[in-house]
Amino acid sequence: MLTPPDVALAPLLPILLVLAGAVSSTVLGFHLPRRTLTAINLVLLLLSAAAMALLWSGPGELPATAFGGSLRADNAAVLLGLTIVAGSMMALLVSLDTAYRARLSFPEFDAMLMYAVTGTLLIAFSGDLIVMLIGLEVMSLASYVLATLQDSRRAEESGLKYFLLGSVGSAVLIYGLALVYGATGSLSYGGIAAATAGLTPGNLGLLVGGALLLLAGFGFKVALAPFHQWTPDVYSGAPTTVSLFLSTVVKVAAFAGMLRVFGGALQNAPFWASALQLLIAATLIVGNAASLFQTNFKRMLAYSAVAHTGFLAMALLGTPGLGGAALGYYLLVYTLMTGAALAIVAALQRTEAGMNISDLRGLYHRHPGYAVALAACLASLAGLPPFAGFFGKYLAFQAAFQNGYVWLSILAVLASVAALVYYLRPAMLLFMPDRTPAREYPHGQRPATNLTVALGVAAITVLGLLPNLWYGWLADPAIWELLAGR
Amino acid sequence: MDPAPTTYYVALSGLLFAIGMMGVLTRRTAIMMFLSVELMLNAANLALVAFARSWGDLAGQTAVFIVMTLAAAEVAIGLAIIVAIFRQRETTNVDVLATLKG
Repeated sequence: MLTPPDVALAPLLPILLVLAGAVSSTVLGFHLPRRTLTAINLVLLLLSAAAMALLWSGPGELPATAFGGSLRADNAAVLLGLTIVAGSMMALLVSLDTAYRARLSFPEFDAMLMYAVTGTLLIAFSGDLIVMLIGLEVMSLASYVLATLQDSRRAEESGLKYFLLGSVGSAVLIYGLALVYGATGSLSYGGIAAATAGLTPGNLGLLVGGALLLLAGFGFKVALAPFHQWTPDVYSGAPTTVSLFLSTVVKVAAFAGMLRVFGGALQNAPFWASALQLLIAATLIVGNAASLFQTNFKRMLAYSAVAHTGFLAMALLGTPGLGGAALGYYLLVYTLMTGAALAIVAALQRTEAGMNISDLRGLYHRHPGYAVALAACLASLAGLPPFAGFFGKYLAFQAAFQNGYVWLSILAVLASVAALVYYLRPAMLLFMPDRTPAREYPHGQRPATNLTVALGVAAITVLGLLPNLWYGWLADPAIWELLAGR
Repeated sequence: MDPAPTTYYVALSGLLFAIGMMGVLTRRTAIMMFLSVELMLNAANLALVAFARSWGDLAGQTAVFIVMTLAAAEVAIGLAIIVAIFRQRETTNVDVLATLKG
């Protein structure tokens, strides 16, 4: 007898709302101006966030699932999904002010962005490797287009680099997926986690090989060294609004996938944690060292995104309960502070190449609001105490340290001391006496960018002073220990 | 006649994957690099089918269809990007793309 397919619409609703935005931008783009479409998409993202909030399951409640557990709207998915929506709304708001100047003001921009968000949400809500893979590819393919969309040589170069290295990453990841399936005979996270307990030696070899290939594939997507080479070129070559989206939302989603796969399905598999620890050490050294030598502010932020990948990935080394909560907190803070900093770059830059660090000198005397906000973002990125970046770093280091990664934690602390240099140098230049003529883009009202920056900076300040506003929701270890399902 | 054991298929798929990886690392035209990536995807498909047969599980076979669809979508996007580049520069040699560095 055939059983009917298990289709539940409630756990799908947040994803469907975003997909509706993507489809309507594709179809209505012929009839409506782009700003109207962006407004519609912003409303749909808010509705999607509300739908996620309704999916929150209290203590003792089972999370909603669909397709026999392939799609899981558990609390981890809700928390990561809300972070993704926050980053996407920042990107859309900033694009209201900058897209026209960046020659990106087409309905296609909105459509591609919303398709990418659909993919990112699928990753966060995934319950098996196939759904995760579909989400990852939908996200990646839309991001390749976003990076190329601007009709300029820089954007095309960054798009081709992103596409070639990204598709190699996807291929490696898919091969790893095939090997893990061969070792365990299951594609669902729960099935893999159950099968990793009693494996024959032959299958154990397949599992380790598959896990390492998955790690390399995800390494491409989140920019772990030595798979990070595309990152600075893509983030600095793409239009700044797109870089904002790629360095926040896409990275959050790739980390959500890593958390699901390594924190859930493969949590009992051997060897991947030792390999990850080496990759993190390389990322911390390469990312922070390269940031020290940058002269262009946008490119420095791109390398700082690589360095932050190292800090974020440390949370994956913790026990699932502690590490998941640390990663969830740090991802939101990272999204807010990087988003706000790149929003300021997008507003002030003269060309899409961004501005030189030396051009920031005396910004306080020309744009006091932006200067103070940028200083706050840089202090938070550096991990200075009143801001939320400090607590995020602290949680990630603590998660790795308590699970026995002592030397890596020491390396990370040293790396963040080095990071102080390259974050605080531009921050101090902002308040130097003003001797150079202004090099910012002079014109224009930027209400949407101002709103984004104000909200972002307010959020990192409030979350730094009262971390429990967000961490309180994440702190329950049960959320992160059931990542793979029962 | 006995069917060939799964290890043969997995070994072949590993070989295909390695050839694809070598192609990506050594070829300098975007089209050839892209073709090598497709070879890697097909290696994964062969492994998935072989494992699905040995486990007697259909999920692996359905996964192959999804990977094929993803590969087709990737072709569409990838060729569009390569054509856009070719129109501007009359070449698809990736060594020409070196404006962004540092």
